[in-house]
This record gives sequence, C-alpha cells and structure tokens, in this order.
Amino acid sequence: MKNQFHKLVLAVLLVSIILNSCVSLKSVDNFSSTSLNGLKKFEEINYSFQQHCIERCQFEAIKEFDIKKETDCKCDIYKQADKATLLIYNSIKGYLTGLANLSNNNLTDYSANSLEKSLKEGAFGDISIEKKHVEAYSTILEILSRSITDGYRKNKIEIYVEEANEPIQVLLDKFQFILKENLEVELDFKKERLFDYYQDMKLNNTISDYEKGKATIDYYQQLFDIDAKQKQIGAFARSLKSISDGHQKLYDNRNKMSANELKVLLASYTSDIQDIISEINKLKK
Amino acid sequence: MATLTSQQATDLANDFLALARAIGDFRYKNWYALSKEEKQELADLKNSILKSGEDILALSASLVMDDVQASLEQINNLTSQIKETIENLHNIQKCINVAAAIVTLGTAIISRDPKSVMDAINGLTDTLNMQGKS
Repeated sequence: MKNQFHKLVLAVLLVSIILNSCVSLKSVDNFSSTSLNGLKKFEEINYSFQQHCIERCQFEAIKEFDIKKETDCKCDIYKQADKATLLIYNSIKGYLTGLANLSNNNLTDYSANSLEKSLKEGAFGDISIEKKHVEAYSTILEILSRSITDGYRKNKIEIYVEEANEPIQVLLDKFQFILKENLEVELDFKKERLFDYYQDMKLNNTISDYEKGKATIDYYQQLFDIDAKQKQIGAFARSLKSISDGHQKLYDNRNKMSANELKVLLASYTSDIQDIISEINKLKK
Repeated sequence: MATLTSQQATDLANDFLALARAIGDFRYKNWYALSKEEKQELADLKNSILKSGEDILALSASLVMDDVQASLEQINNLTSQIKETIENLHNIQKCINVAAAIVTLGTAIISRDPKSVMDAINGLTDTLNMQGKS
C-alpha cells in the first residue's frame, strides 16, 4: 500500500514537472525568423554608397563625353560608409539568427531512436524486453529531454532578450538612420543632377524636337528607377522599425515568454514585417 | 574643435541640397538673361555644392560608428553566448546516444550473457568514437 502511494506521488510529481516545463516558444521563433528574413532583404537592395559614387563619376564623364580607358573615381568616404553599414547589419543579423535558432523547437527535437535501436526487442539472458517497453522508454526519454531543455531555452532567451534590448534598439535605430537619412537622400542628389542635365539639353536648343522627345523618355525612365529604389530603401527602413518595436514588446513581456498574450502581441509585428517583405519583393520586379 | 555628429552632418547635407536647388532655380528662371559664361559658372557652382553634400552624407554614415561602438560590442558578445547555448543543446543529442549505448551495456551485464556484453561494449565504443568525430 505504502509502495503504491509512493509510486502515485512520483507519477504526479513527474507529470507536473513536465507540464510546468512544457513551453511554447513559437511566438518568439515566428517573430525572430520573420525579422531575420526581413533584415536579409538588405542584401537585395541593389544600391550602396560606393555604387552611388561610381555612378556619379560615370555621369560626370558622360556629360563631358570623357572617354578614358579606366575610370578614376575617388570613393574612399563612400567605401567607409558601406563598411560601417555592413558592420551594423552583420551584428543585427548575428543576434537575430541566434535568437531564431534558440527559439526554434527543432533545436531540441531530440530523437531517442538510438535507444530504440540499442534496446532491441528480445531476450537478454533472464531478462526479456517487449517492443512496447522499448517504445515506452523512448517516448518518456523524449518528453523528459524536451521538457527540461525547453525550460532551459526559455530562461536563456529571457536573459538574452533583456540584455540585448538596449544595444539592439540603438543598432536598429542607427541602421534605419543610415539608410533613410543618408543612402536614400543620396538619390535625391542624383535626381537633382539628372534634372539639370536634361533641362540644360532642352534649353540649349542644340537638339531636334524628336531628340528632345527621346531625351524626355530617358529622363522619366531614370527618374522612375530612382523612385523605385528609394521606395525599396524606405520600405526596408520601415521593416527595421517594426523589428525594433517588436523586440521592445518582447522585452516588455519577457517574463511571459510562453503566454498566449505574447503570441497575440507579437503577431502584429510579425505580420507587418511580412507585409513589408512582400512590398519590397514587388518593388524589385 | 567640437566633433560633428552624424545627425549634424546629415542636416548639413540637406542644407547643401536645398542651396543647390535654389541656385538651379535661379539659373533656369534667368536662363535668357544670363550669359553663357554665367550659366556655366552657376552650373559648376551647383555641381560642387551637390558633390560636397553627397560626400557629407557618406561621412555621416561613417560617423554613426562613434555612436554604436558600445552597442556593437554588446550585441556581438551576446551573439557568441547564444551560439554557445545552442552548441550545448546540440550536445544533449550526443549525450542521449551515449546514454542509450550505456543502457544496452547495463542490460547485457544484468543478463549475464557474455556475448551480449561484448556486443554492448563494442556498440558503446562505436558510439563514443562517432560522437567524438561529430
């Protein structure tokens, strides 16, 4: 009787440990994976400071009909700007990759196949092992491993999100600043230069009306391309803002990492980022 | 001399753009009143202002580094810690495989079957070798 009571207590204890430890980090995983996908869109923005410098240099040469065997463009400041941008990008990417990997349930999808293979059904001298026992041991092992490691992951993520929030907000903010206030504005300068070029061509009256028409088509085509590029950069910068706001929400609710409430809270940021990814994809076409 | 911040550099570049636009507007508004030389001089002037503005914008992006140095170090350090945690979690699978091999050895020893014991020892050795390689 006493023995049975002990078994019952042990079983209740085990079940409660498993239930308490079973956490779902899916909302964190969804948010960090989508954020990472959104962030990687940076690599698809086909424009950089150095490219801007080279194109400006080429434009000057075209204006003067200056044909050289090699272009002589001084772009050191622009290369430095790209280097700084890339450094910030890589740091954010590293962190989000880590967070996405750590919150991914597949990470702790431990397989007890090895146990099943080792504990083959059959007789070992006096001991006989049935197939159902082998499967039961494996299942228990998998549940226990998952419950323990999921709790461990949850605690670790809480700590990392807490420590990362302040610096990641700074990095995301500065990354946005570089793209929106610097790179996108470089294209405004390009537009100004383009306007002057075609306006002078028209007013100088050295070309025919037909050529003026052709030049006008060229001008608007180039303007359209620059606008598309600016919209792409602008959309990307907005996705950084959503990542930043989402991470802040994650930080504010870090103590209820597995609660449904957090799932709902993060869903809007995840969906915003997803929408912007689609927008960037459309702008690329 | 006080150092320029990235925000100040960006503001300055925007001022340069506005100034260049104003020169351009003036030039086109007075196109027929200006001499060829005057038009060229204004065009060169505008072009120089545009170039300076573009350079300042690129400089602004580099100046951001002054503001983010500490944050970069913190995030890179945290990323290393996360990687270590992930590595530890991967090791659990290795641990399960070794534990399974030990369980087999234990069962074989209890069964007092010499052949099973030998097989189990070989199995454990193989498993340990495999885990060591991965």
